[in-house]
Amino acid sequence: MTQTLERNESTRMRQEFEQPPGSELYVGRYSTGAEDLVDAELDRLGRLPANWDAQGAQPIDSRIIEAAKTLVRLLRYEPIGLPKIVPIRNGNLQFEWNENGRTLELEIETPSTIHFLKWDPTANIEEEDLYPIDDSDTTKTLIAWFWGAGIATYG
Amino acid sequence: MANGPLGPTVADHEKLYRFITTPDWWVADEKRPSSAAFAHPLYSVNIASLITLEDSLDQLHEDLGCPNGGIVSFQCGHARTLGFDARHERDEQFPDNEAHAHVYCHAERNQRKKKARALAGACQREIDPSF
Repeated sequence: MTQTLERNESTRMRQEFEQPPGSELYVGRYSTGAEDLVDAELDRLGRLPANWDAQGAQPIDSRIIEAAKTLVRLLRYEPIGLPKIVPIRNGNLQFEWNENGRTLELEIETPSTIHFLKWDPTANIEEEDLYPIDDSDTTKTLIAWFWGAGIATYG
Repeated sequence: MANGPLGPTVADHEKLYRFITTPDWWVADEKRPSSAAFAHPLYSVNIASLITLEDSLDQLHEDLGCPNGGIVSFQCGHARTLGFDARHERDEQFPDNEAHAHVYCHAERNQRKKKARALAGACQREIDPSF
């Protein structure tokens, strides 16, 4: 019962993250407001209890949460759009952008490593690899790939 | 079982049900699961020929306490071509579930995200979640 209530609260907070008031303002740019939203979402994920998937998942590692927050701060002035932030059963999490079958995933696999996936079947793109989390240039390049040239300028 | 000898191989022709137990794993715009639902070396499924969809839904709602959860399915043989090996093994948490199987991911580290994303994209919707 308690876990169900926790899940319901978690669901409400996630929905507010995905559809914040005026969320369209954040698409195409990255503002302090968006940073606050992402931080709040990371805090929510950090509070997920053990077994949050009802099938034995581990809580999200606090070091992963902190690494994610650091990553977000490094991207504060970048036009990254608002990603979906997805927990993984082993205690990791990933930032996900999905649009029309294209996907970019940045999984924080360790506090110092990102495991990325670029996925666009229509262009025969299926690439994944690992890189240091403090390599912001690679992160920016990947996000620019996802969004294309359309918003790759400061708003 | 994960900590013992592997159980019998699930046949390629079998359909497998995967529970979507959290809204974080549902890409609503595309009506498909996130790859995160498959991004683990071991996860649970039901073998569709051994349990009805309705009974699986009851498990999801009542046993797992996920009244808004959903169910997707995929072909065991297709998953196997991607590196996911399904084994008919008991669920320690619900040992009476005869349909339970574990899926093991044998992909190399630098291949596993592609495999998980491919499987997520290949899933059929059985019961959409209502988060």
